[in-house]
Amino acid sequence: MISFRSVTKSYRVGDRRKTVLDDASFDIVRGQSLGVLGVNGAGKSTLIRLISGASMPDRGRIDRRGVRVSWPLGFAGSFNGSLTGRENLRFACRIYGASIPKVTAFAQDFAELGAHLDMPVRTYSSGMKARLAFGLSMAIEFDVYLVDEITAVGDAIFKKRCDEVFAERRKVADVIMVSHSMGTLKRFCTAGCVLDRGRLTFYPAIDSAIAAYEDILTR
Amino acid sequence: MGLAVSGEFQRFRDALALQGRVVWALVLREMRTRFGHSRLGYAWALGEPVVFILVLSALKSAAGGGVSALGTSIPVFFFTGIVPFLMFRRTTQQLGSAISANRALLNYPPVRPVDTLIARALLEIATMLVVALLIGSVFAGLGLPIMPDDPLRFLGALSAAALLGIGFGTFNAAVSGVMKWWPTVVTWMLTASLFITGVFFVIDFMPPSIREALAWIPLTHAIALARSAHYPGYESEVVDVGFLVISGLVLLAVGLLAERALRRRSEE
Repeated sequence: MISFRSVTKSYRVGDRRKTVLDDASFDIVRGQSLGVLGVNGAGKSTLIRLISGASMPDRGRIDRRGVRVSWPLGFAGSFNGSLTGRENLRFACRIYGASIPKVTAFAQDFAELGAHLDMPVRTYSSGMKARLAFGLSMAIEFDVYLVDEITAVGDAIFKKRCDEVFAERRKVADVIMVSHSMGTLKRFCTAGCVLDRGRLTFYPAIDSAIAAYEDILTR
Repeated sequence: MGLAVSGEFQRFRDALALQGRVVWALVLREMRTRFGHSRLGYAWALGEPVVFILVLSALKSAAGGGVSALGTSIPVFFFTGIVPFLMFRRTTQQLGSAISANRALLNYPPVRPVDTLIARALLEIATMLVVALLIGSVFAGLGLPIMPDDPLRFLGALSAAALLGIGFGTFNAAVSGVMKWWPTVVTWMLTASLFITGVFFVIDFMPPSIREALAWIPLTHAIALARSAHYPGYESEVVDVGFLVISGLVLLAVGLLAERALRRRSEE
């Protein structure tokens, strides 16, 4: 369970502040896949960053209680450009206490980088970086996977392999997902929540979350 | 109750193990990025104090009549000044850029800004100790009187210099996040400090007015302390260990608080 206790978070747009969460307390329970809905600028990506721990709340407390949360899927911004792909994998394994040979073997096979794995990451194309990041997040066994808009990387065959391996991981791991596509959310998520003006409201079924979101749109 | 306590303890232990893993991963990575790809990083770590001691000793021998300000050996005199000075300056510089240089890594949820500070402090202190030992061994091999009269006290002076650097560096890392011009000011301060903290001279031999003014700089105390520990016949009257340690701790505390307070603003 991931607990938010009296969490306030705002960010600056120009010279105004946008409130993402206003003194919000809630629990994200395990064993469900959660779709996050909200209008543009409501702060869905910031919420994902708060859950992952990449952003700190302005006030309040977020407790992950040993739940291993991934970084947003496919996000390659943690890679150091001057280090090789292999060295970057090694660093991630060390901080998560994962087996370096196992993760490297999996990610190498999955990302299809071949000899590029021993080249500096700055020489990679954005597709190669995304594939490596995706492979790495699948190789490390997270309890919760964060997805901020699924972005397809690679060709149709690679996409199919992504779907397969992600489906495999989802049997034991949860997903928290932001998407503009209602179809995607329905496909991946069982439950939903709507972020609106600093409040997060939970719905046990994704369909009722989508209905509530559509109400906001017509407001 | 017992269960709750052991649960808390378990969580504390898990958190500690995680932080240990993160710091160690960062240390290994820093070694790779700083020293790994070319040997120049190592060469400079060792070369800087060596060149400093050689050049100054040559100048002093030529211009100063070959008499050391303290003791019998000119190179040893400069060694006892430059080692604590570099311990301070290197920790200051490395910690000052620790957070901004590792910004990308902070996207890994377990990596926190303070971990990058700890990792760089550990690596810098270890590097400086190895460098001092290497130079000291060569000096000993050449028959120079390099062994401090009170080795533990000498180490204490180095620790105090490191603490000062860690405090100042942490403060700078936090402030640099919101004031982009601050690192330039720090560079000026570090450059000036080389000339006024007693690396080249003995503070006790200065006129009282200058001595009192320079005693306000904490680093001056660390260098005078190192020399007092090294030379059996010299005990600096300026050294105030309480002032030295408290300066370091206050800088560190203010730095950590500033890091917390300014984190959100530097994220944006």
